Amino acid sequence: MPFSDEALTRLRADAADIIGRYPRARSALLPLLHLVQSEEGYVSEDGMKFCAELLGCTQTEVAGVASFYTMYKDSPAGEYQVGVCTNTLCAIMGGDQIYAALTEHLGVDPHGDEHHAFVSADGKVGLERVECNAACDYAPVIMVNWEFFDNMTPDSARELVDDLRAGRKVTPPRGPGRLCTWKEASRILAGFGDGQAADGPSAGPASLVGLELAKANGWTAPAAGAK
Amino acid sequence: MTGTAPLTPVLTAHWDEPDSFTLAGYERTGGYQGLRKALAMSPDDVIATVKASVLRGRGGAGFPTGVKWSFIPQGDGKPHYLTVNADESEPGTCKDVPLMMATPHTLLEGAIITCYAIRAGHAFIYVRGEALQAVRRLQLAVAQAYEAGYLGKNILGSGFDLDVVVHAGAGAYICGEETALLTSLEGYRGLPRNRPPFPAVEGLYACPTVINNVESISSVPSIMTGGADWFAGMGTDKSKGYGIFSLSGHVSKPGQYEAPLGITLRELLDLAGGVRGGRRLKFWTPGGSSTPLLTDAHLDVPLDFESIGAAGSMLGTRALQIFDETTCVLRAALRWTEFYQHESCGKCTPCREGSYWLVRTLDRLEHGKGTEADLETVLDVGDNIIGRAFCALGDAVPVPISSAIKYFRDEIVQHQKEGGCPFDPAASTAWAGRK
Amino acid sequence: MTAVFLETPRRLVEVTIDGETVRVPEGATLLEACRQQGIDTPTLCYLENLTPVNVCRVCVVEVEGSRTLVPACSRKAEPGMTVHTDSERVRTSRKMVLEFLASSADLSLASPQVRGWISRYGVDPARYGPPAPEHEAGERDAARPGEHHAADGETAATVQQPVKYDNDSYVRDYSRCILCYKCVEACGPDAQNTFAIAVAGRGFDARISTEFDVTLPDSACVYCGNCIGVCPTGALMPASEYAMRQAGTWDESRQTVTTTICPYCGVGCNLELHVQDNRIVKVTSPLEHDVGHGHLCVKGRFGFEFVQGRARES
Repeated sequence: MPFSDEALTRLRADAADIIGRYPRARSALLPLLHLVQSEEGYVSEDGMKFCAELLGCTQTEVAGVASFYTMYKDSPAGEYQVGVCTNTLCAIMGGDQIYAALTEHLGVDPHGDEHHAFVSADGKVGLERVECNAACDYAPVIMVNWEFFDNMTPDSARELVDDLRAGRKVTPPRGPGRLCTWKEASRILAGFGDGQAADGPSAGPASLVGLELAKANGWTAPAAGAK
Repeated sequence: MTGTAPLTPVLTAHWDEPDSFTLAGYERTGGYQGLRKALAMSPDDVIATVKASVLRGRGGAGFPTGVKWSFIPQGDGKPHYLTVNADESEPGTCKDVPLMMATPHTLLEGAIITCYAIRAGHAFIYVRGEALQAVRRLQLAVAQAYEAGYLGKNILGSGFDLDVVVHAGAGAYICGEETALLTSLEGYRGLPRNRPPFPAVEGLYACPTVINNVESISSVPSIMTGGADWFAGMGTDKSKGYGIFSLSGHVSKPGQYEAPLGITLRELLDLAGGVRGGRRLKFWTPGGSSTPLLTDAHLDVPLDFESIGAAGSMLGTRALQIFDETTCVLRAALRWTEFYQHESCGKCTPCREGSYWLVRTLDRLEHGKGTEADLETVLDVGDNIIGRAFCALGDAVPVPISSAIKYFRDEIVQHQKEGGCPFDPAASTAWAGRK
Repeated sequence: MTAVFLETPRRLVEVTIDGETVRVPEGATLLEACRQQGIDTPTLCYLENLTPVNVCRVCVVEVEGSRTLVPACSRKAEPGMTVHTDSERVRTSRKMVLEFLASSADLSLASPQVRGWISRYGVDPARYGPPAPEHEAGERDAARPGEHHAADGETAATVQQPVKYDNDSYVRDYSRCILCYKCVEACGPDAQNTFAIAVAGRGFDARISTEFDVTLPDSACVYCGNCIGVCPTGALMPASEYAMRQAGTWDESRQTVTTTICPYCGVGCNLELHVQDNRIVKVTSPLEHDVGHGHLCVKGRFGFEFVQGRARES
């Protein structure tokens, strides 16, 4: 659906802000695609046309870029997009079982064509496999709208999905108190913060094991200036 | 090194403080003192100091950071750029994201010092889009730094101007490759570029550009305050300083352990409570999936660039993924190969076609339908992908399976004899044996 | 006429290729140096009138001191370089590249030169297994970036798919596409500046695409046909040639090629008229001609029917 006049005015103002960050306008394409995704929940043809017009390139070029990156969806994503890490370490630690449990729980055929872009009928939950997201010390990991959910099991994964579908409050252990929606997350990636940066812990437990051990033993780096 | 404690928290030293990610929290623990010191020096002296520290790139390749900076031509009349590679996505690697969540100002301070040294007026932090909280914390840190006068015009009265942009990626492992990162940052498909010309000569917008990993840049403030000798006093002969070692997988206490380079996996495993449940270490990666597997025969190899290289692997990102005897090495290798297939940009033939073909063949082997001849073809084709592809992603494609065959050939052949995988995937899960 | 040097003559650089000392002008590529020596170096994605993209990797040579093999088409000759063009590494590498491409794409219409390399390097695409079944129409175009495909270990992956025939000027048969990027370059910065086609998707799913995969008439295509002119495998073909091939009447042994100047405007592009049975069946443009450099516009490339019309009247 083409953008409304209201949306266009708003998006153009945001886009001008984004383009202004870069020495060359074309550099703004990735954040612009995040921006149009924040409007519609996916990168639509209208979204790509919007980017092409602003940057003075063809729609073919924009589509070529959008189809290169996995975070841009070509159909509406779930309000909460659940990504199960099935890269080697998470898979072996149970990610494969978690993904299997969620496909069964949500009624997705894990071998069918649709499983790449599954979204529940109510639009609440999307499911996908994701690659390593730099949280291996918390394996197996699930991401919801790019927030970490650590040390998952099939049971905790099912519970998480049920909570998301029922609209119950879900708090990412290393993220802010309020889990933002897919569209809100996309807007943050376009460079517009949601005011939640200061919420949540500095670090999770696994990030601190070495530091805690060092402190318990009085181990430190040599004093500055010492050789 | 004698006299140095087994663990030496520097980058991680304040991660346990609830406000470590704020400007106030960072300044309270000595933040931005390195920048003040650097601004009182000449840019060339800053480069000389980092050179003298022998800091080597923490993103995997280990190229000396100060030397890289010195390649930037000076007085060329072109804008210079710094691009921070914060696109952490090498499987197993999980140090930069927690760093950016806990102490984004460390990275920012390092970036400002780097830009001052290489005379850059614009820096970009290309951060993984899939790490939302890290993106938020970087955005907050940049805003606070502008407010406090650490960024913008005339930083701390030095006359030096700098703008920093936080740029979120969109899901492509290849963008961790430095030239692909630049292409992506310019708004294109993340395809690698030919080298030469190297980014120091023709990088972002064909201008001289330094690209450094998050941990490399974050190490710079401590080198400024502690001094080059202090930094070089840690570590081994040619691999100086400290680094974050990330233990994951079948280990009792997975997590981040900051130690001088040269610590061994045996020492780290001791600190981390050993392999879970007292089981035996089967195989591990020293630095992510692109570094050849090692086994329990390599427990005492010092984790530095030279020793790990001599042992037939690479130090990489110190992403120590630990797998115990419940793990099927073929399943692991197949999944990593699928990852490379998934992430191949498709630009060059060996990687695009080779990764796809390799996955199919490994799938056949994993399902017990492979043959000895398949193993030979895998090794032959693998040899011919390495060094023929456009970039290092292609070089990495055959690494997991080639090293798996090297150490576990019998186990792979066993799949064929038994008509399938002899391992129970339930036994390797995090919850196996619990309840 | 006296020759006038408009620029300083280039310095010569000395390199060793296969044991022979070769002197080439500074800035020359290893490919140019090899050609100067008469060494036949295979190329697929390289063309004199396009910027090298070095994607096919078939031209790789061994340079002493370099861990990786280097693409001859873009690597400049440096003083003292020692180059091997026919070492074991080079031969196996070229064999593998050609083998991969021949296993996934249909190279039967590639030039005799390409088929010569396939035989010279002992290419055996069958060792990758029997080809997978053809894709359905649109299936490859719909692939999302990095989809987690279920692998089929029993067959070799291919790009086989139905032909795209959606306009009167030319046909796109992507079963023959080796993703050399030449058409994209010709459509974009290297010739036409239209940017009607681009590479979409990634990895093995990467393909040449119009915006949102619309048909050519609905796309930004201006039918200059410069993409056809550069295609090395027959994936892009004039409709006239395609129709004759389908009818079994295309016969290059009965064709003559006549060079003339395009009658349409004052630019003066050279045309090569391919004539079979006294009818123009295809128009190409010579690479080495200073005006067109192998490129044409829609009129020059496709506007020849009027000639045959007049022939019929007389």
